[in-house]
Amino acid sequence: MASSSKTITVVSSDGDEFEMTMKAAEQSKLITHMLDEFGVSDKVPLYNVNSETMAKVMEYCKKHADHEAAKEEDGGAAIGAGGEEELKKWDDEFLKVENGLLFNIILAANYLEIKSLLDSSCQAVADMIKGKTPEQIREIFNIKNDFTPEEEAKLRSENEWAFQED
Amino acid sequence: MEWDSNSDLSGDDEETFAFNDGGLLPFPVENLLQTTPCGFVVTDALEPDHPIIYVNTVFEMVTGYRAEEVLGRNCRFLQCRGPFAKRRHPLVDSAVVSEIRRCLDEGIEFQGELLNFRKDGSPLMNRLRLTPIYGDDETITHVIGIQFFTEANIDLGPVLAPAMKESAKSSDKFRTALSTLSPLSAGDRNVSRGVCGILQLSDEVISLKILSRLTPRDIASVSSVCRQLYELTKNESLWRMVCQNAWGSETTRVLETVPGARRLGWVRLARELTTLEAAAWRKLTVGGAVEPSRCNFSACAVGNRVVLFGGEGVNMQPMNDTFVLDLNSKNPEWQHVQGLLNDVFVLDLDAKPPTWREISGLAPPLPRSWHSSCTLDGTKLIVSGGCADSGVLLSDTFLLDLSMEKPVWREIPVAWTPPSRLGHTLSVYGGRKILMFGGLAKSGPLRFRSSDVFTMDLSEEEPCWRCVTGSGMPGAGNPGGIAPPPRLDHVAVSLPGGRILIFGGSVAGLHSASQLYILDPTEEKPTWRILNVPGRPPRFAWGHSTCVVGGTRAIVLGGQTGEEWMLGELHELSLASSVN
Repeated sequence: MASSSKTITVVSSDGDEFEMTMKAAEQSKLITHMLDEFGVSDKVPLYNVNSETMAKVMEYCKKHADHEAAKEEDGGAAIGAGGEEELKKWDDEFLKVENGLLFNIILAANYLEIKSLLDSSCQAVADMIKGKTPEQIREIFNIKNDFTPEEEAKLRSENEWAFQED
Repeated sequence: MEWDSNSDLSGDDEETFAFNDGGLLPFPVENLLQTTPCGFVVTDALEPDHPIIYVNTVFEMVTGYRAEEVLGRNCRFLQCRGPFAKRRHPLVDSAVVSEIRRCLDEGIEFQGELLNFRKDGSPLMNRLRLTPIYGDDETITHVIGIQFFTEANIDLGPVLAPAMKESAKSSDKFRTALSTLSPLSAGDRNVSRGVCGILQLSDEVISLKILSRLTPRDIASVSSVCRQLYELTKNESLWRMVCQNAWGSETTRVLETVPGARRLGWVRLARELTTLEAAAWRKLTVGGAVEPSRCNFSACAVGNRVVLFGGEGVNMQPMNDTFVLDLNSKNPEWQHVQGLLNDVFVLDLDAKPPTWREISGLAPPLPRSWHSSCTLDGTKLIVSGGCADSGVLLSDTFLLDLSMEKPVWREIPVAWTPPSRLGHTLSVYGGRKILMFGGLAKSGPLRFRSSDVFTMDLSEEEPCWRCVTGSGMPGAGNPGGIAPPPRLDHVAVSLPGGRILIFGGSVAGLHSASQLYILDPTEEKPTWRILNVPGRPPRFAWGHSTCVVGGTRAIVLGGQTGEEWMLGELHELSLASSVN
């Protein structure tokens, strides 16, 4: 019902306002649902997304909305054969941020129900874990080892199977 | 108000407060409390930025923040709207904040009113009283905050209820799944100080969105990181997703129908099918009879049923009948199904009675025997090599797509084929890849038993045969490790996860054919390994047939050992603990 030229305003928990096009807003199922139910008149408060994260999410939604629009426009000619791959490369670069921001992006994508962003950001975190030892994982994510030495020894033998060659 | 450091702590008014971790606050403080319930916070003034070391339950209930979420942080987070905001909300009066700063710097008491926010973002007015506590040497050691909270009359816009309820619902489902685990004690929770760490993501997001993308080995690594992650990795739903990602949805679906596997649980199943630590030979005696007795039949499994077809009887008389054995039943026995010979037939097991349907495929390949075949996706039949009527060895590969209305045989065009052969095996792994092993292969005018391995990826646009090499020799088809002695007419079993298990067959010289060999073609440098398994294996010579039932058992049928063929006795290699 809303034309693509309309915009909506979202407000971060820090009180900053961000404008986004309807097409970009449609990337988020939550916002779409809200707009369907409550209409577009007011500013949309997203109290559990801070400004730093909101800026990144806005960037993502805009990029993906533009990509979709280009696909629709001339049957994909504007994007070309390598278009999907290019978008994936853009996503990979986009997610090269420090861990704290990355986790906030995951939280925001989960809350705002932006499936593609949630999938790629979670994959990025999974990639950081792949092939790492527990100690390395602790270092990357700044996690304290709260096992006692006895518990650690027990865990080592419990998990031995996963590290042996068959 | 100052506390005299030498005051007698054993006075009438003494009341000690226990910290959230069990330590005691060593001075009487009840005088500071008003009669109405108040929030009560103690901060450590000697540590940088005055971290909270104690909050009372009123604080927890009113603000919605649990003690373990706020210990170690400065109180100013209450000026941010909700746990994710990083800056003080613009409606918080900065003049009051400056006044608090001034009083703390000067070491005097503060009293005033400040806008705060609950964890759910709703606003609170906080009538606050901050009192510094002095230690032995006139330095402030602690600051005590007493908060009298009231509702704030501010409209900050709607809080988004609908979606939050939804995510709470799915969280609840997940929590129920977790509730069978022993609860995490509050003090063990790994909380990073005010910075969003991975552990501040919800359990659901961590498990189902991040951990589910990892292999079993990575999950084992994660489980050793800290207690919270350990608990998460014990979740069955998570392991089901991991197994599905590692082995494919077809295998996981089949495994779900096996009662024994279900009782074992996904955690244990993943482990046993990775390490094969519970693999053991078992002999099964089944009822019914396959008569006349025969060898060189074909056997395949559909779910938990074994289908045996054709073969050669005494005097090489070809057979064309079919037998079905249901291993799920309490007393499995062979059942005879009337059948036909020629071309391709599909047995509809669910029809009553089970009946064959002829599939007339157009452009069939050259008639042959001793070829290898396998099925892809459950719908495509692949046939390769073998021996034509004329005695010529073949090296072609044909595919028949049974899901089409009118199935047509299609030869897979390749620039190069491995030397033609008979008696080799074709196994499917990794979804759409096939692996060819062994056989009696042509080498000039001669034929030799082979232990070469070749693979082909049928998902590629132009599939081609590749050697699986461990040696650097060009044209060599041998992975590293201890290769199985060359053989034909052996048995190859595809395991979940892409590995191939080889045993049996006709082996030259004094080598034992019952030794199990295992190869993972998905490794960077595929290497043969020997698998030692307890129990008594069948005595191998040739003519055996095998199939994998329910993802966890390899059934070996029949075979010519020079003795009478006993099809009433099956040998089973079970890969996971049988839970009976």
